[in-house]
Amino acid sequence: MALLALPTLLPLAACLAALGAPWSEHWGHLFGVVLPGVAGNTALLMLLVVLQAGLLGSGWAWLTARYDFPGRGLLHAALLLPLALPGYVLGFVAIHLLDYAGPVQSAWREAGGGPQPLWQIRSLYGAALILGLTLYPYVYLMAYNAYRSIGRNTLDMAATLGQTAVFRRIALPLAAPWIAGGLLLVAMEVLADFGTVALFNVQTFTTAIYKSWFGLFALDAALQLASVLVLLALALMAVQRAVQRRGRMVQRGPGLPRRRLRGGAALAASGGAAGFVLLVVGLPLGLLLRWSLAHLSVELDPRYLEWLGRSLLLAGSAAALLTASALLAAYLERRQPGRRTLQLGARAATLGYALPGTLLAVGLYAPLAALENALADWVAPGWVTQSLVLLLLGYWARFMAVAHTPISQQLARVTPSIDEAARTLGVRGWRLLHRVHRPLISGALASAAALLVIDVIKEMPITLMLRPSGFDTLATRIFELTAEGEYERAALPALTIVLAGLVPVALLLRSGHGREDRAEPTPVPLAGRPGTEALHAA
Amino acid sequence: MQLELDGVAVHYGGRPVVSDVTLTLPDGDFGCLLGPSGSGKTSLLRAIAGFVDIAAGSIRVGGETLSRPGYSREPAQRGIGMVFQDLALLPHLSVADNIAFGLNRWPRAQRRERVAQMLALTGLQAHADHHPDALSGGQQQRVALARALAPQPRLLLLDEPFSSLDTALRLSLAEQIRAIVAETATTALLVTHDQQEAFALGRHVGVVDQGTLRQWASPYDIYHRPRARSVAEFIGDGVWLPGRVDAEGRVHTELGMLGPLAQAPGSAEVDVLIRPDDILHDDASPLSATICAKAFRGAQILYRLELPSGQALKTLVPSHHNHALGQPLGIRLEMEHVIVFPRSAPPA
Repeated sequence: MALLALPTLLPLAACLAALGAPWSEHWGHLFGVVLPGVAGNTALLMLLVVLQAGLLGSGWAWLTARYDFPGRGLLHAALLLPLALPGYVLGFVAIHLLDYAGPVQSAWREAGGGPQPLWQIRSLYGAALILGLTLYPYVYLMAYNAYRSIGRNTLDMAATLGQTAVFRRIALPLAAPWIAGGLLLVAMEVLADFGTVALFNVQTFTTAIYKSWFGLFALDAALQLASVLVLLALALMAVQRAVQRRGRMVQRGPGLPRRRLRGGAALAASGGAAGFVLLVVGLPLGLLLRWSLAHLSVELDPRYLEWLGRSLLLAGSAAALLTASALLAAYLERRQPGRRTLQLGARAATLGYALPGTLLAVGLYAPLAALENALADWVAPGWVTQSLVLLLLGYWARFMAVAHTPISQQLARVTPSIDEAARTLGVRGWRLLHRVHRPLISGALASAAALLVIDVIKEMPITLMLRPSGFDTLATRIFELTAEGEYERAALPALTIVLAGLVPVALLLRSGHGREDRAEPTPVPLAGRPGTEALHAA
Repeated sequence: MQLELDGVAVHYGGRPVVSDVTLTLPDGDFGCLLGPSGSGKTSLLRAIAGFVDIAAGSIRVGGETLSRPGYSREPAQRGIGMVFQDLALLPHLSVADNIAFGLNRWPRAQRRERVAQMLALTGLQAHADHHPDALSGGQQQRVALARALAPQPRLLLLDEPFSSLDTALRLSLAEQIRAIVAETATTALLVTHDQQEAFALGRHVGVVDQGTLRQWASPYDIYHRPRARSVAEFIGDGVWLPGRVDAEGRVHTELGMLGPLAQAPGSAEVDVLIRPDDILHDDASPLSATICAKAFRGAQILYRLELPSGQALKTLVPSHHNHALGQPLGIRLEMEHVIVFPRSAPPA
């Protein structure tokens, strides 16, 4: 069990140790110049994104949870689609479209709008806009579930007491702990985001860590920045634990009735939601498709297939490794329920999702590189730091929760009495595993593996920082191409990633989430995301 | 205030679930609607609260029409308080804030005073700052009641408010609730499927069956003078004893002659309602029946008896008269009210 948690605990320890380490020659520069700017940017970015995601998520969710209008079911699904769009993909589409040289501002100038720029898209505000648009579905899902679990009697009660402001007086206060949980997930994602802020040239903790390491080759400075970041991440996690304990909703009796919208209101609801989704998802997908096709003859060469192959190789091996380890751990927990070390191990192993990838990368690399140096006489240089082992350890640290949470939850449903019932019927040993356990947990295994594949394909900072030199994947190619302003050439790998990202959204919708009056399990794309266990209570 | 229902009908999707309900609940009285689940009693309550439109008739409170076909005043405008089956307490608010929920337009000082009043009335002063999930079932009940009464509603509706509590708690809580409601002199209508509850609480009890109000009367009359066969069958224990009515209005039965009846039944062949308390145990009586089953009820034993003809009877006997199964038990019929209904066709 300790082994399961080791890839997470090692970088955590390395970062925390760096807090107490002697100040490096860079520390003065870091502390005086870099840190204030970085901290300010990170805070402002987080505030803007959380605000935007909160408004979009809780607002759209109220529309689809409370009202009925043409196309509601479809639009509910469509509003989740941004989950499939990594911020760095939507971001470069937006930059290409809205930058000074882009078609929108060019048209404005041609129409006689003057030479001064309309806006500066490559800015903190641009990054905040894009992150808000891609992250609001976390809030949407949590809020939707919370709203739907408000009972009809609660609304009726408010009416008999003369209260007609249902949203303000009932829905929002009741859903507040869930919305807060979603917002904290968003805040964690913002803290962890690297691809989007790098693209928009915003200096935050993650980009500063990357720059210190790969620009200034100052690994110790990177580690010291990471040590500040780890405190922020742990603080967010603590807030989240506190929020989670509050306000459980238990609904008995009939569920929330939907109000049928008619005429203009129905048109505004359907049209508004459809227009929003088209603008945020449809238009970028269309542009990606168009650019991909335009450059297909150049881009669809053996090198593209090589990147794709590497992405799939990494994703496949990480998925197999993590799923198998999580399954093993879950069985150990099952054999010895309530053992403290096992529980702590599981908790530590799943901590990684709250820790930014850049932090994990630095925290893994620094001690292992030191170890490699110490053993320089016995091992070949780069036997860890230039191998896929390091990369897989990074994925392990970050994504173990994605595998462990659904698998252990599902295995917990295979209660000891199920085993005992099977035994009294003469089914034992391997036949018990095969005939009883396999059918019960294979679904959780498959969806965990699918999610891991997607998460690894999308993962940018860990891949970028821990890969052997020159080992390009789809995500790192997007990073390099967009850094050079080659947006249209980045379209094909981006489209590939987006299409892969649609899988968990489809899984989510297939799991019956959002259908009426059904016990809703933790939505698939949220599996392993800290705090989403609360959805079980909703 | 006085509640008047006049020929009220409720339809769901074109299907009638309540039809032709007429009743008057005088100002300040406590009424109960009693009926099996699915009888339409909750639909009727929701119509009075304004959540359901009515298809016929009218609903008036204090002489003011709140519902008629084609018109329904908004629930928020009715001034009717309601206690819901699941209580619908707000988990994020303290007890005091739950009670103040409907008082948000009151001036602050008055609101605070009213909340203090309601806390005192329901004995919840010590729990003002607690959250509902820290309270016992009975305390939660009183919070829901205090919240509904706080805005001084013209009428209070209670929808099976005790159904989630265990039996031991129910009656004592029902007693408390009645005292609290009486203290505020609020007119109240409660819906339940529990006879004991209805009899304990209601000055007026209505028996609802298949969407119609079979009888609206005092508990005593509902039990001893049922006006419909379904009321007699739903309320209490009883058996039907076949009888024949003669020209003088006397009823001849296996257990002897009864009556005369004040009012001639529609037919000569009748069924007589025999309650367990109509049959007394009497060893000196020439009549006797065989004991088929017995249920020990503490102070009393309920015996199920069989006459030589095969006719079943029930009797409630003080429990020191402990007889074995299969033994004959001497019985005597003692009826204050003879309740007869035309003989129904034997069940197919």
